Amino acid sequence: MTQSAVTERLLQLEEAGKRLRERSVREVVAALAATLDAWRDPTSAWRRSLEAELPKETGFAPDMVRTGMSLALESWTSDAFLDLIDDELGGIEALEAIEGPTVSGYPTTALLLAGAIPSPTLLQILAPLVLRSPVAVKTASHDSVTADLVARSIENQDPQLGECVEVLGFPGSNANAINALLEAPCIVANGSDATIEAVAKRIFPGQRFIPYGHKVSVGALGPHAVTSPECQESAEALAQDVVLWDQLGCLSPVAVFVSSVDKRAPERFAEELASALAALEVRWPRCRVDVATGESIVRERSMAEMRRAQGGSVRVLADSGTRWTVVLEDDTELRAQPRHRFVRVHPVASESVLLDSLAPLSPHLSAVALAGFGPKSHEIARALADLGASRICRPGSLQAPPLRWRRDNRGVLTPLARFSEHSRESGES
Amino acid sequence: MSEARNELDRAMLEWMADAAFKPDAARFERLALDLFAFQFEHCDIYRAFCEGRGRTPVSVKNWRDIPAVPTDAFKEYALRTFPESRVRHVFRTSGTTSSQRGTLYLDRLDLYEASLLPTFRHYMLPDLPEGGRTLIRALASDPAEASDSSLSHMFGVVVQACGSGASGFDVANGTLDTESCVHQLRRAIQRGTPVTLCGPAFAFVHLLDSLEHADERIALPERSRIMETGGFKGRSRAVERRELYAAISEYLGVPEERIVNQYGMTELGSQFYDGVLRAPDAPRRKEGPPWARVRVIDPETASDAAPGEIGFLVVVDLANTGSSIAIQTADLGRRVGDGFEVLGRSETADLRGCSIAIDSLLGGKNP
Repeated sequence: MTQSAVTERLLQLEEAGKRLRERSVREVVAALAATLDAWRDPTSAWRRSLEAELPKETGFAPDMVRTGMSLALESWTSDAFLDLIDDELGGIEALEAIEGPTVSGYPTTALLLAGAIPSPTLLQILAPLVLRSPVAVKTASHDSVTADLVARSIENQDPQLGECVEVLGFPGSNANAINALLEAPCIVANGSDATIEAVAKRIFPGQRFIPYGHKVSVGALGPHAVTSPECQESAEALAQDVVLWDQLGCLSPVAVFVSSVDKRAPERFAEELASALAALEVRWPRCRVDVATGESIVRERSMAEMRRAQGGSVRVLADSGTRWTVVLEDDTELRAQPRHRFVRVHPVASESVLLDSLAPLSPHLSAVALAGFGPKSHEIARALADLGASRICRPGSLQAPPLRWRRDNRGVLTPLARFSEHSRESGES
Repeated sequence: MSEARNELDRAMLEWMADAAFKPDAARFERLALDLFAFQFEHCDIYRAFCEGRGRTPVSVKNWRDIPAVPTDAFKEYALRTFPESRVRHVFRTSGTTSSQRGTLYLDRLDLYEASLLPTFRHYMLPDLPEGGRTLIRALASDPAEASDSSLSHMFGVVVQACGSGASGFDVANGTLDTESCVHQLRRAIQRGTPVTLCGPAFAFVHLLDSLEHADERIALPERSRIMETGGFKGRSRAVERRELYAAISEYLGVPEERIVNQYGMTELGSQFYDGVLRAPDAPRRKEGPPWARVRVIDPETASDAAPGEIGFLVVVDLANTGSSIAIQTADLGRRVGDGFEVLGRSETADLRGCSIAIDSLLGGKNP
């Protein structure tokens, strides 16, 4: 795709945006809410297409895609959508207001996608449209399916709204096309820290830039979550959080910290987690991984074996290939994480050790699955929030954030919005 | 030194001195199993590591079953079969992206040198008559300045054994002296003396940048050759190997078929070379001395990858008598004929989500 072709599309979107803003916000929001409802319906054409097509590109197990989407969208109802607009923007009225507090979007929004997890893609395409800002979407290299399906679902619901979404499928190496896309006045960029840095360098001061870098999540279990029978339940719930999207999302736990006076508790949990991962591997086989990933899994297992050989009480619980791994550590050091269903279990002597251990991860901490701390839970949750965790929830629900989740500690709609205060006096002058 | 170790070292020195430089499967198997048994007995951490995998000298009957330690282990553990008091020399990895540097402890250097020298001669100087000398310039520090660099040490040994009078080093105080280097190369051109120019790939990039900046092209005499090694990680500029070779051809006048990539690492006593100088018409591939073998491993099966398939490289090196016989590298490669090809490392492994390896988040703790 050429630079001029992208520029042309952005201009077409801008024109489509002008037409869109002539319509009532209420009508637009209703169409978007109906689109969301269609995606929530597991029998809809969009969901069925996603379940059929996404596994072909990513290797995700089809049933995992089905379950993952159902979990992710369970609470994303029309009401939740309207609540989100109320909470973040002051309601539809603020979007329609011509005096007092008013809210508007940008003439166009460019969205650079990364990864292959569908629900964030769905939300990131819908969000600018709430503000009647047309959106140009650069698809992720591993997922050319989701954005296209979302665009078609919007068009199906409301053809004019469909004209406000342009899906562009050029590779990230096409610098000319990227440069043209980055001319949009509002840029939402997902990707690695290196990608974000590269994009940030091309942003001008007047542009709105909303970066979403890479993050990780963890589990934190207190004594009540690792006694019998809770231990098995905690393990099964966290195993599902790990396995969904093959541990590739920012909500996927990469480590679980176990705090208990019972010295056997971390090992017991690690064994339960291993059993649960083995069972889920049968149900939702992990995607094939490239050799580099496989090598890093083998290497991290070998390094864990070396720590054990040095006299540590480290254990490696794993399948015969590279499909799942639990490393029971004997310290709290944060180590390399190959992902793809590779979890470290760390024993922690106390809640303060837990928080100290997570402190180095603070700038990159996304969510924490928290359980088993009894009355101390609120205090710990508060401390985790202070560390930067944008979500604290129970094990098993990490992959189902509410629509209002402030990913990376920022709102869903507010970063895309321009707020204005139009006082009656200024209007009269 | 124990009698068992002496016996192993004697056997290895004998093999390394054998001018035939021929593979000998039975000899390799026998010495590999003996060396494994020795290291199992004399390196506590390696023994515990092997026992953890249920591998002992009793159960291991084939050199392929010898457990390999990851190169990262050399950053954290003293993998040696002798006490600290007997450490005679230490080599460290460059540590460009890691706070910790891998360390190889040696209690004798003669074996290390006895391994590297015939291999260098075989692949880099196949046309040099026995006892002959040639001009060797190294884009590296003199070993006296960088005593813990295995690469500098190697060049020092090679220059001493095979270098003619004007041979030497072009890095001083950590900086490539391009002016002096070019001066030496020009003198060689004037005299029509072929040059063997060796160094890390990033040093060649600096030299070529300097020539480009000066808009200078020099044509090294016929029969000159280049040996480049290593990658660009942590360096200011990375260059594709194809691009590097084209620039070498353009600015130094050495054709691609006389540019040899060496594959080696601090943790190994042996090195591997492209066989282009010995077999210019054969596909480019790495070969090594008969006492070192490379396996291409499929991570899913932990067995040898099918021919042509990509896997990670495990080196079984009998020159590592004092450290660890089998090394699991982080390098990817595949079999090519009777040799192998190194494909480098995937820097970003298959990112399909918004998560990332913790080491990257923490600033690249691991290489």
